[in-house]
Amino acid sequence: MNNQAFDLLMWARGPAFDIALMIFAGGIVLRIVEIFVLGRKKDLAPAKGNPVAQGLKTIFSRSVPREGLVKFAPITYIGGYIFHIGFFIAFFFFAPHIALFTDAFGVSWPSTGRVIVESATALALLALIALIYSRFTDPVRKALTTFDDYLVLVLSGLPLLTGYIAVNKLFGDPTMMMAFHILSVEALMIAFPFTKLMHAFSFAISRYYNGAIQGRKGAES
Amino acid sequence: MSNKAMLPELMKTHGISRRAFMKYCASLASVMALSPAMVPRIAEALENARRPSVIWLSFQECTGCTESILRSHSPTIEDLIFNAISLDYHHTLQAASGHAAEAAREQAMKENYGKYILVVDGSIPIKDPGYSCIAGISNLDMLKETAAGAAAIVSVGTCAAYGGIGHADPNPTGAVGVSEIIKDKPIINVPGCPPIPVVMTGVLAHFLTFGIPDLDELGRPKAFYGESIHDRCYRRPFYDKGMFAENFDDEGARGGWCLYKLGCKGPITKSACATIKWNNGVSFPIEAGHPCLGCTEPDFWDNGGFYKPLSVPAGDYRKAGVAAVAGGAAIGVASALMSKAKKAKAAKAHETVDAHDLEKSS
Repeated sequence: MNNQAFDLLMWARGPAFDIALMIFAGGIVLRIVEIFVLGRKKDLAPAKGNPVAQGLKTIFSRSVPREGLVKFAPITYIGGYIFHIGFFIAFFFFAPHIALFTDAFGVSWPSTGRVIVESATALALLALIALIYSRFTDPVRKALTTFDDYLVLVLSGLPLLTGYIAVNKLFGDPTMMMAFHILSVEALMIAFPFTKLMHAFSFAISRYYNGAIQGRKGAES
Repeated sequence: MSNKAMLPELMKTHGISRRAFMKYCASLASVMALSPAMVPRIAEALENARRPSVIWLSFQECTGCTESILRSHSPTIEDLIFNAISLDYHHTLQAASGHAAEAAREQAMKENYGKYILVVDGSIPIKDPGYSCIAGISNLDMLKETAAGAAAIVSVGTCAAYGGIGHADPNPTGAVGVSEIIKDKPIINVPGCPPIPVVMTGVLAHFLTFGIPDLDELGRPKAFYGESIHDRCYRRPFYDKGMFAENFDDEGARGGWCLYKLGCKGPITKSACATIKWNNGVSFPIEAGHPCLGCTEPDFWDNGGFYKPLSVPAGDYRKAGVAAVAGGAAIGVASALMSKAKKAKAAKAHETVDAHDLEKSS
């Protein structure tokens, strides 16, 4: 007699993870290496400002919204912050996730309690729903949204949702829900290098580049 | 063994009071999640139950399940329950051996055909029946033959229930549990490596009293296998607070913190260990400082390693990861260099054009 939930969990922890990891790691390295090897054409004009300082500054300054923009697009900004911070806390400060990093890289850091992790997960999910809602209701955003955007939103939300259900045993077999949770993460890993999710790695490169161009011209970015 | 005294007489000879017996019935009702109103009924049924003949078959096993039952703290009432049944064949416990032992089995089967309880521990090899034989009879044949006349089958231990260690990858003997072979009899699975003694006696008591208990999708009595270890673990508050033992000799281990990071399989394991406990309620593995192995679940031997946390991949993923990084880098460089070469080629192919050429072409 087999337990299908257990078998699925073992498949998710075994071959499925290996496949997802290969696509995830291989794809990300491929794209980043490609960006650096392609490089940029050398600018022969004398620099009017410091490109490096401006570039580094921009990596961080772009995380702060410009004046007036929060009022102009509150859902995008506030929802965006809550989602990112919530996802970050749930991903990096839940002990079972830290155990994965410890196993892979030998590093460890303190985990946080269930109240914080679950609150962060719930808030991130609510923010995600608000973000999807704004894409449906705002005509401009709706026109700009592609299938990829919806795919990325759903793929980012599923691990939060399935993780919350599995840990709290809201419904379904807990082992099966844990398998679904891991599989949803693997789906996210597979889509990662080919979608906008790549920004988690490429944001620093693009921000630095934009800042450095402006810095070279003597402009603030 | 069939002319043994009934339970009340056995109680008398063992100095067990009526009060202690009723207390036992109440605790049985409690562990089986039955209403307290059922206690007199359990007592009555146990006192008057016609002692059924029990044939206990041991196949590919380690005798751990029998050892577990033997440690049910004789002379307790659990022990008496076992005395109250007519254990007609158990090749570890019976005095007879060889042909005499097999004759006892055949006689018990003949006398109680269609009524006896068959208890099985150990897995059955089906790849080559010759891997495990008793008195020249293969386990498979003996199971089929004995199961044919059984009223019900109790698969004791994870080996009999799901194949257990014999079934573990690569399963050289083709070991399977009873339910893979016998399809036409009620089967109660009592998994565990070994199962808790009171769970085994409780299941038998339930069978004598009310018949087959409520079973889950894996054939386990819901009364004992309804909740996960994790949900009933006394260390659960540490999990909720994010306090974990990182190794077996750190502050967390000494302080009794959660053992998740040391590989505890409590979250996916359903068993009564955390509530009923072992050795007459003294302790259970987690209380003794060891993570749960998940021994009541099918294929628990192949769960990726007893000391690997559940959230950690089970396979050797590092090699795949390193290969992917190397491959990704190589393809990235190749792709970028090809793009550069294409660009250079296009630049080289440019023809210089002046205003006259444009005029000519227009």
